[in-house]
Amino acid sequence: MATASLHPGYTGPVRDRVENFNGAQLVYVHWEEHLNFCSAITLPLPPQTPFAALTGEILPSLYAVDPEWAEVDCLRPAGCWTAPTGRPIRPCRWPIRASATSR
Amino acid sequence: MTPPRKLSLKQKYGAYTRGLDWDPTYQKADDIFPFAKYEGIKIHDWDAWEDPFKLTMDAYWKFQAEKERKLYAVIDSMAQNNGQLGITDARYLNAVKLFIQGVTPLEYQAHRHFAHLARHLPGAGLRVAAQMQSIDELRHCQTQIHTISHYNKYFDGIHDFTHMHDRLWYLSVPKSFFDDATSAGPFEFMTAISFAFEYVLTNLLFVPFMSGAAYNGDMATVTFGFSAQSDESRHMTLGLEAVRFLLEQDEANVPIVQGWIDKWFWRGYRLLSLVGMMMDYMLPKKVMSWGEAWETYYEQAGGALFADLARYGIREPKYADVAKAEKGHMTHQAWGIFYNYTHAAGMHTWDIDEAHMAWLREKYPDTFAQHYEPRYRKWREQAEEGKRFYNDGLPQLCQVCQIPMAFTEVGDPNTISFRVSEHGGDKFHTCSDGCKDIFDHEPEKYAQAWLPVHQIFQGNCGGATLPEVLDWYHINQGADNMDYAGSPEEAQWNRWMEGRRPVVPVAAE
Repeated sequence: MATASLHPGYTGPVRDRVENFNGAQLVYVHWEEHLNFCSAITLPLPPQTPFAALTGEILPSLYAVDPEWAEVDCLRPAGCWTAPTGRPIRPCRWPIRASATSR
Repeated sequence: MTPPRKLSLKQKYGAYTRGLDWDPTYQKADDIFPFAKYEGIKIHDWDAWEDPFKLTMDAYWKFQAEKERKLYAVIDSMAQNNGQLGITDARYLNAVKLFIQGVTPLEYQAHRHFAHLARHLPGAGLRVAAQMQSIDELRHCQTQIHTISHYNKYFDGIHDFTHMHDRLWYLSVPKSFFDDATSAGPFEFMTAISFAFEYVLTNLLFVPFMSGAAYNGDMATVTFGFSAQSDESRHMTLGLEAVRFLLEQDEANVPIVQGWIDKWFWRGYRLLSLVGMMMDYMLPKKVMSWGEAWETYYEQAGGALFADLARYGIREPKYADVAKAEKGHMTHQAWGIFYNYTHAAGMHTWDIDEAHMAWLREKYPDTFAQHYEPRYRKWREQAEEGKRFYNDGLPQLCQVCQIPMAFTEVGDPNTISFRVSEHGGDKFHTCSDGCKDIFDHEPEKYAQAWLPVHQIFQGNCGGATLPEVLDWYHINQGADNMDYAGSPEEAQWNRWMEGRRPVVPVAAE
């Protein structure tokens, strides 16, 4: 539904357009059932970032303070990665939720 | 010659409101009041508005001046007698920091927007009420600043609250709440602020803060609370009467007002997670738990209110059942956010000690021991090993309430609630059905949100590293932020208390 406005058809600037992120793309990740990390996190990644860099370098740098992270196998074949739609995407010991947005 | 007859209250009210109004002749009313119609609200008779207080400007100044005299006498005495030493514990001050950073700037925003309504509402009675409320709000802002400025001499995190309000991640929650209201039309603003916030939810803000201040020896804040209280009761009445007036004017107004009530109930409830956290975690001497306050001030009082409004066709706000179901979880999850990100906040958090845990177990028998106590014990272990946990990943924020995505699904406290909407080819993430509904209703509005985390990643917040961003926030690093344990504030407080009396443990009652 349209925003109630003095001038019908009003639209405003979308602040988080993908081109505003200096070439990066936002990826949201959450390690499920580990709410000592209070919320999902935002990662601004170059679109060409390999999945192995996400799982091998970026996520460990943020999650390895929890000893249970050592048991996570992000590349296991039967999957625990889920997208916000519930669609499984990739495996690991605990579900990790990731969503890349086009923003 | 006979002296002029003294006017009755009703006559005087009439003379000071409608008596000052006139019907335009050479301009169209629609041009003079351009905001009056675009929201779809239909008003047939502006004169049907009756101010229940019938307060006129002359009487208003007299009342307010009297209250000011009392308040400033207390503030002076507080300053002369080192009132800062009378509080229960320095940790209490973090509630005051949250108040001046988060709430006081909203008072100023309210002042500005009620001044706008005092110009733009077509009815003279409502305009005068809005004008007085505008002055009230400015007075509240000033008295809060004057009261809390005493603490600014001794404590951290208070020194640049207006600057912080505009920039800090957690302060974007109250700021964006109010920006949403002031960028809406006059009737939505009144329903949002005067009714949903000031009438339905205000007791959940004011009672905890003021009783919390009283319980914790902060007499200055208590006094400004009293000074504001008589204004608040007038504001509450304005809120209720304004909504009744809209509902009585035209049946077509009912669904519009219901939509606003649904929206602003949810927005207000999300905003109050900051207040609930303060009640359950930041007061060394507790007043009541958030769960108890919600039952008393919303479930009981709100239940009676909505039963009364049912005759207009108004029902309870949508998702009130969610708020009820979450009341044993919300504040713990909010504290978790602040504990995770205290390194980027203008206030402290700390380890929850045993007495405090016992209080939380008693107040939240169904939730605390099972879900939150283990988390706090794990954090304590890490802190004792010298590795106090700070989350280095910047949080994903809800597009609407702007709170980190930390709230869980109803009935499933281990699973965070994620919602996604699509608009203009982009995905937008929200924390709940309540926030998603708000986004989906007006996506053009919320697609413009200034989300602090995204702004950092766009390079608009001073730099790419945390210290640069904290400088841009004007956080005095190492003093304003980080755990209370080891802070300059703790060291100072312990010095003061040496030889005076034992430090009161948090949650000891």
